[in-house]
Amino acid sequence: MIQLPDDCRLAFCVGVGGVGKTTFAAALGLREALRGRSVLVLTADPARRLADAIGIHGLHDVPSNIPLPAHGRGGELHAAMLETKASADEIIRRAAHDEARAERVLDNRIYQAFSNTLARSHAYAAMERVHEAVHASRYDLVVVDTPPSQSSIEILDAPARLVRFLEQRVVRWFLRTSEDSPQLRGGTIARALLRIVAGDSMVSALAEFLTEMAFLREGFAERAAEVRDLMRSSSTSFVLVASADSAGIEAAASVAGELLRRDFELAQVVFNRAFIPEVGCAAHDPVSYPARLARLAPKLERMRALLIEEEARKRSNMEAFCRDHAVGACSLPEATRPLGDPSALAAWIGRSRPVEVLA
Amino acid sequence: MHAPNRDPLARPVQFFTGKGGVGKSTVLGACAMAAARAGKRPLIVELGIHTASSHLFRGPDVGYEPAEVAPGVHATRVLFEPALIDYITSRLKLRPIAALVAKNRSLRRLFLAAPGVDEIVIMHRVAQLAANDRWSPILVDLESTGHALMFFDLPSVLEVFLKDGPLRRVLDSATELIRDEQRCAIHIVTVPAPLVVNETIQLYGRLRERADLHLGCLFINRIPPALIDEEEQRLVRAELEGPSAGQPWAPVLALAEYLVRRRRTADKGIHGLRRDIGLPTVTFDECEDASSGIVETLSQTIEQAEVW
Repeated sequence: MIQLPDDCRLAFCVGVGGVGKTTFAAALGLREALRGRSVLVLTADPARRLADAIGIHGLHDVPSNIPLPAHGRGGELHAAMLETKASADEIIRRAAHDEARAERVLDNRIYQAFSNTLARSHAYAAMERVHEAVHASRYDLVVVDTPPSQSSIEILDAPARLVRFLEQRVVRWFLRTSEDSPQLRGGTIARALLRIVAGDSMVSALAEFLTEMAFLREGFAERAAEVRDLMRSSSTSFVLVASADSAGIEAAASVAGELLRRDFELAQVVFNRAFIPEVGCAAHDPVSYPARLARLAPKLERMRALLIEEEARKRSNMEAFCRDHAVGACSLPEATRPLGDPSALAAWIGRSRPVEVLA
Repeated sequence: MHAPNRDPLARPVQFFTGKGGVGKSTVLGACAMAAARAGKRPLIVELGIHTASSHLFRGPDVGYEPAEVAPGVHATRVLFEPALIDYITSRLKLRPIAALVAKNRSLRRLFLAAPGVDEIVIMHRVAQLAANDRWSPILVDLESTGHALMFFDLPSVLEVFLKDGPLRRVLDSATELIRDEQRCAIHIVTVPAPLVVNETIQLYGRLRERADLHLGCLFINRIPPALIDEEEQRLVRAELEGPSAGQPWAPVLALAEYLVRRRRTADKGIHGLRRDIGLPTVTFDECEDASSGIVETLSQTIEQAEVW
């Protein structure tokens, strides 16, 4: 049974690409909303899969309200897609308190280059959005659908990394504003080396950027620290989404390892496309076919064997994973018809089964 | 002038992109194995946290230093920190000093937090490996489609403020490599599942807009087998709707129909891919999961493939 703890306020869905992470994040958000909670699902997936899964035409940076199937208990579901540039612009506008100052930053060529494309900018923007959403009192729960593994780890690393970097001392060191401080004197050589390594244009571009953004620094570092702490608190859950074939299990193991290395506790694993409901109906017992199907019978038997084997393989993969990682898991069926509205999504996640591990 | 290198699989630098979960690493591994059998010195270059090639070849974990993972096939994982030290060494010439610089706390924090630095450092490493005569071809595993577009777009993003200097030279040499039709090909890997097909067609469109990029092949992986012919399919359908309904063997017929549906969906996907993507195409049949010979099987397909 897939359910988050009642006190969970932030859930990260992590995993490699192609496992149905976005669809699952939508389904998880929906399920919690149907329990009566007010939920925001935040996706970083540019492929618009979340919009497809919940049956709306498009998602934007501003959350959309998703109508729930009738049997809801007063919960709400909202969904938004993280657009790095739009999020970053919004952050600047809010922090600047002054239009002219905001415009100066938004016009800054380095800001423009950074805010658009790069993995790290994306991670920083995601962090700000998570902070904002968790602190806005309108949501009980924020579900974050992270991009594929490399960048998803990037997102998890972003807060701590920023906190370290934005320490006043490091920035001052870089901007050379306290030449005489004995602590900083040792930095002169390093700075000279930085110029050799990165080149003058990069160093001055970064200095210009940091100076221009000085007004942002304090609040930004504070929020980064809050998100960093929140991620390690008991109200945050990490759910690993994986496929159950052997390649998927290996990929899941490496993501689980990365989480462990960072001291993030894995709450649950969800194996998607782990079974085909029809296989359960076709009992494994021998069947005697009527004479008119005699020619087809061997082929039917071969097909049945193929699917049963496929499922058995997946089942033993899942069990081994749960034993090795001492974590609970459930499996979800392959969606035989496209999902595409909240009712189909709710029905799909409702068919989840626990992965039983024999002691 | 050289004649253009017609066979994209023969170019010395090959990028593989495609949505996650399509078996990109497996296809890439198969290409590497086929290259090794043809007497070349292939090097698999992984950029993500996930070392697919060590699982694929059942070998030890792949690290930063290239290691042999199968006969004649080497693999490396481009990790940020050693790549940073490599880059700094290329500037300072003295490795011990470079290591000290990379360990300087303030510089480290700067490099770890600044957007763009890891992309540049990784590009530097890839260009360095490409320039090394020891390896050919190098096969670069771009983790996801977003990753790929980022990699190829980086030069135009950073150009804005990197007017000169050493980082600019790294960008320039990487750009030159990517734009060189003699040396570089970008392959797309996909599977014939509806959503993946749509995303692949979109990715192809975005890559094609970039006149400076040179696309190689389209690999369609995991094509499910056709287990019964059309007449038998019709029989299954008719039986399910009529005389077999409710009979003990009906669930087995339903499974057969499920597999037929799987295959039909795949056919539709392949048709769409062929129609919309004008690249030489290589197809791979679905292999039994967990068979350790999967790379071997696929590499034989590549050797026999007629790339059209």
